[in-house]
This record gives sequence, C-alpha cells and structure tokens, in this order.
Amino acid sequence: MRGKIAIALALALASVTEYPLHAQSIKLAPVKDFDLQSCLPAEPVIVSQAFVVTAKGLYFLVSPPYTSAAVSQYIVKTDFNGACAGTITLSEHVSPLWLSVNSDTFSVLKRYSTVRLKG
Amino acid sequence: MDGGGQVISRVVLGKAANEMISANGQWIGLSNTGSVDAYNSQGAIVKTLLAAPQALVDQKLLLTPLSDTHIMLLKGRTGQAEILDIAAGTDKQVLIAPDDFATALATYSNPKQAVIVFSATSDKSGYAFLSLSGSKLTDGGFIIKVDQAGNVVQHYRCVLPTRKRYAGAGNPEGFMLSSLIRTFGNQLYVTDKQGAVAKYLLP
Repeated sequence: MRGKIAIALALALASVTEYPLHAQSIKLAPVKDFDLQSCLPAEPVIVSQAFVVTAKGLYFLVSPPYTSAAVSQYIVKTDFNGACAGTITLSEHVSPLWLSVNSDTFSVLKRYSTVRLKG
Repeated sequence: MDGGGQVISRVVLGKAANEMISANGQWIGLSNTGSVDAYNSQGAIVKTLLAAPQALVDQKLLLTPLSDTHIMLLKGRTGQAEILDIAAGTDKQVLIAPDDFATALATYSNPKQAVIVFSATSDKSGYAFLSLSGSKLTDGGFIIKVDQAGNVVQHYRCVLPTRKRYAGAGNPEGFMLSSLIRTFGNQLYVTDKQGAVAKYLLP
C-alpha cells in the first residue's frame, strides 16, 4: 500500500512540466531528516496530515489511510531532531487533518465537534 | 484524552469545521461551506469573520494565523487571499505571488485539478510561508515567504531527502514528497504524509 501511494504521488508530480528555477532562490539543505515510523507500533501504514511545532517539540497526528474501528490513530511527539518523546493512542477516531497543542492539552476535530485532549 | 487516551472534555461547535486555528484567545474555524467563524469556549459562533459562499470556493482553502490579531485565508489555486483582522472584524484582499502562482498553474494540463499550495504556515514576524507545487523533485521543495501585502520576500529551494521506499516510476531517486510545512524560530520543517520529516535552518 505504501509503495502504491508513493508511486501514485510521484506519477502525479511527474505529470507536470518543469517549474522554472528562480535565480534568487536560496537553496536549503536539510540539517536533519527522520521518520516517525520508529515512534509507532509496527503495523500502521502511517499518514500524517497534521503537525504542530511548539517550544516543547514536534507533535504529529498520525492516521492510517483508511480509518475504521479496527485501526488506531496516534499523536506522536518528537524532539527537534526527531527523537521519539512519546506516543499516545487515541481512543476514538478524529479528523486526520487538524491538531492543536496548547501546553499539555491537545485539541482535535471530530466531524461536528472539537474534543480537547490532555496529553 | 489524557496520557492513556481518554477524552477529558468535548465542545460541540456551532458549525462543522474543516480546520481550526487559535488566535488572540479565540477559536477560528474554516467551515465546510467556506465561511470563517470565531467560536467561544463553548463552541458557539460569536462572530462570522467571512461569510460563505466565497468566490472561487471550489478550490482548496487554507487558514493560517499570521499574528495574534491577523489570520490569512488562502485560496490555493490563484493566490488570492483574505487577511482578516480578528479584533477589528475587517478583511483585506491581497494577491500573493501572482507570477509564481501563474507559472505553477501553467504546468498543469488541467488547471481545475491543480493544487498549487501544498501547505501554508507563518512565523512570529507575521510572514507567511507557502509550499508550492509544480516543481521537479530533483529541484527540491519550492517555498515562498510573503509579507502581509502579498509580496514575495524570499524564494527557497529545499533539497528533499530520499527514501528507498519512495523510489519508483517518476521518482527513481525516491525523494520524499513534501506535504506540510511549519516554522519555529529559524527552523523550517517539511513533512510528507508517510512520516518522513526534514528540518532546515532559515538564513
């Protein structure tokens, strides 16, 4: 599944023509790159569509591509270099698109409501 | 939910929202009809900052805070945006980076399917950062920094890390496919939907 998603996205991106480079662009090389998979149980094919950066670190809302009662969503916290700092398994399904972090509480969206979470 | 995953409180919103932000102590929501509404802590709508339907609402809308008092509603295909002053209840229309948007849009064979802005965020100084589509993966992720008048103040090309699992037709190197961006101080983070994260330092 993960490979199919990557190939489909790559093909979609490859279908566009080349964007002209700006002479004045600043080229940035990554100073660090990492993966969230190491912070999660082995089974999920992860999809992260919401993340927040605070002074305490990075928070990701991780959802499988197809949500159902049988699969879990997670909030993953890392430090600024990607070291795992905690993973919470959500007890119910929420919108995968939005996460807010305020001190030690999280807010997420249900379909018609906002649920405040304490982390 | 607490650390064990239990919900500690629920707030029922007065209108279904696709996206929320917190600004100046208020919840600001982008509804599924395209309106922008301010909610109180009980979820009731206390002010509609921008009514629906909006022009060109058939495209992806992105809501991002610029400061404690200003938020940006970006219409992701054209570069048209509304700068909303939460305190004053006013809004100002701006056109962001029209040349960059037009160039990116022209790269799509079907403009109606184009998603020009992958993600939007801002920094503490009130500048917005937009991750734009239309570039080759080998050239890196294209990000522009714009001021609140819509002027581009900087273009960035972020070299994308590679993963073997992404390699395939159209992406033999296996570059990560940038999806979301966030800033924190001079740190810029780019993620993809499959959990890869790249960190950059803004000059």
